Amino acid sequence: MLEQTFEALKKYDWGQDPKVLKPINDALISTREDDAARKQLEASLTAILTDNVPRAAKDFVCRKLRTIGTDHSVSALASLLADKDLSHMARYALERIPTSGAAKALRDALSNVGEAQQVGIIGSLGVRQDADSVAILGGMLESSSPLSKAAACALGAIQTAAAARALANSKHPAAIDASFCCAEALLANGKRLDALAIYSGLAGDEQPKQIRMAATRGKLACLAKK
Amino acid sequence: MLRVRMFAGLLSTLIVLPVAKSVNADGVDQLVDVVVSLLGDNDKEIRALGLEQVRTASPGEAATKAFAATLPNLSPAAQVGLLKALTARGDNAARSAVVSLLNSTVDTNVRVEAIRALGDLGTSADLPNLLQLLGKGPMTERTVAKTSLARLPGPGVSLELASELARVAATTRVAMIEVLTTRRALEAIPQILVAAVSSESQVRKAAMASLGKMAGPMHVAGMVQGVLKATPGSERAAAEKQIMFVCARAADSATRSAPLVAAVKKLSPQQRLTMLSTLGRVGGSDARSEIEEAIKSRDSTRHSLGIRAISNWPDASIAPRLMQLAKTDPHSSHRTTALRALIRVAPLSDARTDDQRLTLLKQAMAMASADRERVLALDRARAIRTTAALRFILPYVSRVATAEQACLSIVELAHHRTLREPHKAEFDKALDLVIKTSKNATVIDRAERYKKDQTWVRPNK
Amino acid sequence: MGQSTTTRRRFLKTASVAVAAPYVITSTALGGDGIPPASDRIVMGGIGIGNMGRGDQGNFLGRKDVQYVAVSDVRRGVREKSKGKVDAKYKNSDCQLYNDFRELIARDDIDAVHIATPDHWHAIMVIEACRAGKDVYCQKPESRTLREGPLMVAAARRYSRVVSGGSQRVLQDYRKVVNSCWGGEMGTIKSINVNVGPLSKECNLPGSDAPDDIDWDLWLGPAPWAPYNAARCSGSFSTSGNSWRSYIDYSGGGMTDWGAHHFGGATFAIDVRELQPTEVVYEEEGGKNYLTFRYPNGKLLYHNKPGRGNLSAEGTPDETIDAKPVPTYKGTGGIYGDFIECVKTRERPFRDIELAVNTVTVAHLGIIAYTLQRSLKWDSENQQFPGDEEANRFLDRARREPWQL
Repeated sequence: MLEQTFEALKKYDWGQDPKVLKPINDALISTREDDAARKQLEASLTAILTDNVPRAAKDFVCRKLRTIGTDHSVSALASLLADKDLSHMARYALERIPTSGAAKALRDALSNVGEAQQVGIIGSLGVRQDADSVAILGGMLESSSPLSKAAACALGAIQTAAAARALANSKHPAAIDASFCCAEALLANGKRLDALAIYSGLAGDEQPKQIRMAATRGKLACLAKK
Repeated sequence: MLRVRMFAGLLSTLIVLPVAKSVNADGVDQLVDVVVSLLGDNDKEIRALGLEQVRTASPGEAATKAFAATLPNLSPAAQVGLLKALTARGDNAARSAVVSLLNSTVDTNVRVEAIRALGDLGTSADLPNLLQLLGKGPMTERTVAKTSLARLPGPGVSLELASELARVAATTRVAMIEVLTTRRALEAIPQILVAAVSSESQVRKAAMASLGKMAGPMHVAGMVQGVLKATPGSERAAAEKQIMFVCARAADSATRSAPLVAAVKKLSPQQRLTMLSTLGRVGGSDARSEIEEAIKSRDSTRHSLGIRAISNWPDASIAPRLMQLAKTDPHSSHRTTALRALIRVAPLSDARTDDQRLTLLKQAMAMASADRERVLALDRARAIRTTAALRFILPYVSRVATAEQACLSIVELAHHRTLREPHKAEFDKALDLVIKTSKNATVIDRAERYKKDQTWVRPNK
Repeated sequence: MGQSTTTRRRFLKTASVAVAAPYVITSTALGGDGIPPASDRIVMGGIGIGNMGRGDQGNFLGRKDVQYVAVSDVRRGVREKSKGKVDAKYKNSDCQLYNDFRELIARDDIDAVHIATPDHWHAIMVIEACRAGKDVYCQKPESRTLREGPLMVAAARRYSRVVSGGSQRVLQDYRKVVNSCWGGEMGTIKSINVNVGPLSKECNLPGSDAPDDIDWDLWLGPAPWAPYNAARCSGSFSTSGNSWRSYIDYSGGGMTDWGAHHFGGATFAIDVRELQPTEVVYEEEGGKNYLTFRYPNGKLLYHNKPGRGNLSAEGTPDETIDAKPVPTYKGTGGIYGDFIECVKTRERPFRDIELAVNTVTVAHLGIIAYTLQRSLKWDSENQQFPGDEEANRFLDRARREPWQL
């Protein structure tokens, strides 16, 4: 049954009834307690990614690997990151695979893909709160605008002290919100003076009103009794 | 010590914060000083930063008092904001500042907010002031005083309010009964039962409505006196329903009428006749016996009251008897009354299946000889949310006398997305017929919307 | 692109120094006749003016304390029709149109925006608007993934913005059960049930050429690329296949769409609006699956529990408990008036974004439990399924470049 479904998947294109792929969806649940069957399912899905099949088929596979993907499928997914049509769906899976291998694949791809795909990968590294990418992202803050904005946002999502330090020198407007995110995380982790330093740096007259207000609110939070 | 320049450009003064030392000599959190300065700012967004802190930060009486102490120095707009924030903070250490402000200000908005604040921050000591405002204040203040009385904390507040009931004017008494109801002041029920037989109809109505929400079986006998005292017509019908609500709360539906029947048995024969209608509304086997006795009577008034009483029955268990009466009662008006009652109870939700409910409604429809009853049956059909009900209604679209009600009932069924969407084709066809037939612009608009999967918002009553 | 670069503040600045030329100040600008002067009106723009957006716009446009100045929608026809409505109201041609919402948000004269795009856009737009210092009225369901909710709340709080969720039904439709629960007459409330659905599905509709009227790439935004199909992007309220509400890339289906109303009303009724569940129990009864959401205070919220009606609450009626005052809207004019009043007073609205997020979190948790066909534990503090790697994958979904939160 599943074999037939995988044959159908190879021809799966927009307009076909998704019900034909139901056995694969069912298998995502039924193989949960069966390592061997789960591995086989992942392998069968991953194999589709390297086949010459319609985009809709690879789209479907990436959605399933988001749920069950492991390091075994990372390489095949990573090979799609440079593809302008499939890069996002590769990230759709990779962003949610909670292994260091998936994170490394995303970081490694940054130097091998176009700018648009770089922006997407940076976003995924941010969502993963990948502390190992802080140095790379910090280096992008002064690059071309789309990359620096994406890097700032990602650092704001990573929220480590190192991310905050990387953002401190950036002039990009997106770095301000990212710095606030870092300050909030620092404060939540008891690093009140570090947070206060960030807020103080953003409270100047040159900032728009909502930024000064946010900085003021942050300072008040630093003072408040817990 | 790290010193930080704060709020540059936002505040007119430069505030220097000693961060490492967050509590100053008089025990007030350093944050409080900053917040106090924010509260006086001319920019409402900056004030809001301070108000956020008032709501949630620096717990404790000292900080509350420090915040509240700024009230006299603020603009009216800022006073309103701070009163709301102090209310949200919920520390009644702010009470005396609120009372002082209320006594000293003439600003309407500030007074209203101060009265509102007392609802959360006040004590029973504020009861006389709030009662006076409830009785004699400007309308805006009366309204908010009523809300505050309903919230005013304190274990003795409800009893004190209840003890004042007999001493105030009728309009104030109505408002106080409503306050006691909102407070769910069960301890005030004895005084409210007294109000239920007041010579003032507005007081009686408020008292019975209150009892309908709060009373228990032990209060039914007292409520019966309220029904007897009520003016026949809408007041009495409303009072009867309040007893029905109380009895309906009984866990055992079979014995729900017991307290009412016990109370009725102690009444005079004339009063017992008056109470037949209430017995019908409550239902239950004891009530049924009393009503059947009346129906059997050769006295036409008593018979007629019995028919009307059984037609008030609250559930469909009475359907066979209603059907029998609708067919066999010697008086045509009684037959009609019974039939209309049958149509009313047929679709009521209970343990029966949708099909059983619809079957009973169809039987009632078959017994109808006048369009008035047919229209009523079509109206009730919308309570059975099935496609079978839709199919039952559809033929009546083509009859002039029933067309408009049939169209309305169809759109009412279509209103329910969970019924409409799985049967879209069938509903679309029916809605097309509605659009073609109805003369009611709202009904047509609704039909068109449902066909397009759009919603229709029922106007608030 | 914006069709004018004149902003209100710039206009006022210019007008104040342009003494050489006579300038006619309209009665609308000065106020009067019950209309506040322009400086006291809330300047608003709308983003996404389809079915719900049109209704929201009508409500804001009808208020004397609102000056509606701009519309953003990725459909040209919708934008232009919307401008016609606004301009007719003000008897001028001032309403500015934008294909890209970022241009509307960038206007420094706009105080507040309302958002009624498909759900997959909500979080990005709300957060961007907060960053730009705008107050926001956002249609429900406010988020498309669990991760989005706390980020929206954080942005609102960080920039001290008034952000209201958009379910008008939470307060208006369920008054009877809310009043019964809060009024004390039901005793201690134990549980409530919500019947709602269905869940959205994967979409594989055939593609066709997108009409010139729509910016298809911007309609998709952060969602996976897919070919244009009229049903895929239809704003119909249906959740059975012929609207974006039917499909997982854009919506959680009826579970989040009507769920935002029903779960909102239910959590309001049993007074757990400020909480999130700690557990979702997946069970089966009579061949039907249903869920039990357990709250930290012991209260239960059922979803589709067999034999229980929608919004049916269970209490302890024999017990006597005090009534609690029921929270309500501020200002006048329902949920819209509540939002505008809070923009003026800087208070939190009835459907404050945090409460709205708590509601939609219930729906998202439910969807994940049904998808995985098992029970889940939920750590609301850390917004994680503790120790549950499989479920944690469902916290979020990758956004198509260049979109980030």
